[in-house]
Amino acid sequence: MAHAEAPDRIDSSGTAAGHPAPQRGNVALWTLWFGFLGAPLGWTLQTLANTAVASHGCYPQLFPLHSPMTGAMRGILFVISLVAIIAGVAALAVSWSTWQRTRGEHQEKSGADASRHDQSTAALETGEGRTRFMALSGLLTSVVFLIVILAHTAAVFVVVPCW
Amino acid sequence: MAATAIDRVDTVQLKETWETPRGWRGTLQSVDHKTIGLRYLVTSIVFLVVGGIEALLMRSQLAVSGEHMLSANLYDQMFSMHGVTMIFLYAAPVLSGFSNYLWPLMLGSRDMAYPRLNALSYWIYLVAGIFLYTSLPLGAMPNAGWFDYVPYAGRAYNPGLNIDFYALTILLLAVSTTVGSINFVTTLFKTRAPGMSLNRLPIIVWGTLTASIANIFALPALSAAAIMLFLDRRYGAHFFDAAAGGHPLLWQHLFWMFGHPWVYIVVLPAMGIVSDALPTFCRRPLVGYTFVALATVTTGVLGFGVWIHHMFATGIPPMALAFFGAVSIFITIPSAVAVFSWLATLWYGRPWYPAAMKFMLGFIALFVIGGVSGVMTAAVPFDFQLTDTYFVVAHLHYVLVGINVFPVMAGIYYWFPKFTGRLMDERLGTWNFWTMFIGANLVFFPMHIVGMLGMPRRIYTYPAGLGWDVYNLIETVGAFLFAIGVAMFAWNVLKSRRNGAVAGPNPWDAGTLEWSMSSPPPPYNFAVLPTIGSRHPLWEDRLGEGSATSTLSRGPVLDRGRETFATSPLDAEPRAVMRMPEDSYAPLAVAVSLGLVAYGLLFGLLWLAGIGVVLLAACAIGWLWPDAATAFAGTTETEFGELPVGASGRRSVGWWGMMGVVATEASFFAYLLFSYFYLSSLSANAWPAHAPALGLPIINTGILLLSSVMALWGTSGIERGNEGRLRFGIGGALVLGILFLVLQGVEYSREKLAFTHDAYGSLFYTITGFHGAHVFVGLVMLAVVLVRALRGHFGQARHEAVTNATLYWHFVDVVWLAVFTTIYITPHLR
Repeated sequence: MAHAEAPDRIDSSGTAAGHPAPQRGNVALWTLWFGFLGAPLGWTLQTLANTAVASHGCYPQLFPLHSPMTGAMRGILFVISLVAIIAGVAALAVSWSTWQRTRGEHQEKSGADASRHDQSTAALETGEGRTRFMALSGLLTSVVFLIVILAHTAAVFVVVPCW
Repeated sequence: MAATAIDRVDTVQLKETWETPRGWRGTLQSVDHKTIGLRYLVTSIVFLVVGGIEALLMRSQLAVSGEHMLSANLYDQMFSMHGVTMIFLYAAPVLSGFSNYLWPLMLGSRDMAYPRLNALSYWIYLVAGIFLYTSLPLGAMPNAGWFDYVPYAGRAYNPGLNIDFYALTILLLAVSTTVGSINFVTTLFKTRAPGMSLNRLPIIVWGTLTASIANIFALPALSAAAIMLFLDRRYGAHFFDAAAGGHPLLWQHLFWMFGHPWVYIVVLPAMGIVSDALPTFCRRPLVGYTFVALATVTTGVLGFGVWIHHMFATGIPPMALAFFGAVSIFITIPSAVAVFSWLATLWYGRPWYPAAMKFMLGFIALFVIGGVSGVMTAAVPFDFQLTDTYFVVAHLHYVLVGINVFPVMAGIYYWFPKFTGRLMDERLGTWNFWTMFIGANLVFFPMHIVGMLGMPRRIYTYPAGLGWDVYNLIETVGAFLFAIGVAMFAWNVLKSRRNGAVAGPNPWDAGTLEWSMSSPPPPYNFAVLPTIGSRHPLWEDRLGEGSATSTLSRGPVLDRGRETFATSPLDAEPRAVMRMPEDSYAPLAVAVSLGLVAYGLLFGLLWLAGIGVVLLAACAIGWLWPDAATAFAGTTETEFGELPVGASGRRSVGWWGMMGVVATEASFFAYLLFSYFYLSSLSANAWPAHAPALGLPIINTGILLLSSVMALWGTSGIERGNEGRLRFGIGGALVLGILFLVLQGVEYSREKLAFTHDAYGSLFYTITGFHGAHVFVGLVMLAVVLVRALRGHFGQARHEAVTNATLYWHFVDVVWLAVFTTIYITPHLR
């Protein structure tokens, strides 16, 4: 896999340690961070915005309402959730892409049994290869937060909004 | 430059450089992370014992029905002090103890990034603990629970000093924890051994990193709440006063926005202890390292989105509750990942069972029980039934005792040989474990049952005939059994410290870096700084993993002062040679000054608080005075090429610290502005009654923005080597900043709105006042930079202080835009 104008060793004349991330030149750093943070940020937006809308919509001042202030409340909550879903899916897609480009990083250095494991198992077990570790982290984080975002979105449709 | 073999290093010189002098002077000055770590551990365990005694008094009262050994008032103080002591003075600080001691040893550094800040964090913690327990002889201990709900905690219902002690203790601890957290984050990203890349960190490091970042963002919520409470109680503000536009639920929101992340803050590093120690006793690496590292971070992030599950019964509309119920259920995914990882490690390993391992297995059992009852209470209808019953007490104690105390015990049995050079007694350890494990289950499991039988929390006695008696008696027996276990532990520590078997460097045959040096470690940690090639530097021969072989026996010595490497954040590539500060009295003096301020505010002795502030300013000036030992000192040739010495450029250690300050301060303002919008949304009246005038604030906004432009212009000047432009730019920003404060004073003098008029008035002066204080601090920074610029301290290659001061100044200006929009503009939009 072609890459990395960066040296593949920690710049040491006195040691034998190779560089922990020889494939770091294969992907832009922001894609790794977006893959890692995109879904959590989408979920944060969804939680904060939807909590404010759902709370205020049914409890605008000092007394609760039996039905929302506006009939469009579920729609508003869904649109906000959709933004979170898009952020999560985008982060997942970017993570998948970075993972594809870095999944072989230090595969041969993933332990005595590395040759028996596929790349994802090796990366999960030892974490060896900093770039693929971050890419895989983005993948896992995006999946977990997408599940939470979808659960939240389901509540928009199945739960009664006001007491 | 060639690497130096470890047996050719002049360790006498290194020892002289790093060792703290003996005697009381050394004791008060030390900034050694190992000393500070042990102090944290010992102090927090003393508080564990104190909090435990309070628990025993409560359990004695509840052992039988109708008992009145403690009055209702004293019982209130007991359960409040028990909670505050255990949560704030034991559970988090004990983990700081492990991390302070272990981080540099695990990461391959000679100290934390900010050794003096580290000492400050401990001293403030100690001052806060002493301050809180001053309330004992005064008979005014906090009495509204560790959660301190208003309106009961308000002055109308609680006129004594009790709650004031609480609020001021919280503020002291917030300072302590925040500086400690910024230190951990900076240490992680800047001071690791070459090659210790992000994917090779021990899990306890992931745990403490996650907890520290969570602290930076969560603690300001509690600080804001404590400040508001103190202002309500002592200065007539109305933040929580529903009759004047405030609202009691604002306290609950702010408290739990902090409180739930805090639950994970006090368990994630403890889970990290298990993730790092359990593989040693299974004689194989942790199964699914990446999964567990990610589970740690994910739990920390999700922990910010579950705070309302503490408020399910407060009348919040069901849709909003459902959002938080869903997250509270799904947060079990990462926790389950960690549990299955430990079980798989046991399954695939060849486990053996010394006392440390027994405590870890006990932890897994208690964690699962506490986790399951957590999922039960995440279901909103179920929680409705059990809110404020003993079921919740059972759940939270399974979680906190199970996931904090048991891993802490395991961690001490595991690392005690590193701390002292001696092993703890295994036979006594086995008795210790079984006594605590059986005791914990006896005391906490029946609480599930009495909770479901309807026994409420926090009652000081109960009548006979409700079916609670037997369970309560069993709980009390369990509590005393647990206490006997803790006493066995204390005896084991004291006995083994002097008479335990000599441990040697690596008695457990562990794989991580802290076991590579002698036990206890020398003052300088590493005679040569290691280069890391894998996650298990001491197991590389048997595992065959890692990009290369770690080099531990030869490498850079860095012995021209207290030196260590500053490295890049992701891959730990050497970027500079850091000069670490010497021992100092300043951290202790700052902590004592803060204590004086707290006592002054508590007793309304403003002269005392004033003395504290003056001392604080003097200490801060002494601390921050440019220090030749740590100043930029050109470059040096190392095994990793030519590196700057004493400063490390734009992304320096100082820059990371300042970013931490900016992040936590920004969060503080965000919580204040949330409070504004929250109260505004609940207000049935016009908000505010009279919108503030816009003329002067608009002019002031322009002035502040212009000052930022001037600061930016000056900074870009010095980056090109233009010292004149730096002086002019910083000087201009300084003048404009002073003008801003003067005009703010003019606005205050014209404003008819009073601080004590209503919640809007309280918010207006609190938010703009805190912003003004930040402007003042920024001006002091700019003034120091200007003086140093006039004395020619800065150049194109060395202007770290300029970068950091202007970063803070830009932050102050950006915050003003948010404040201006919220406080001045939005009232005109209603």
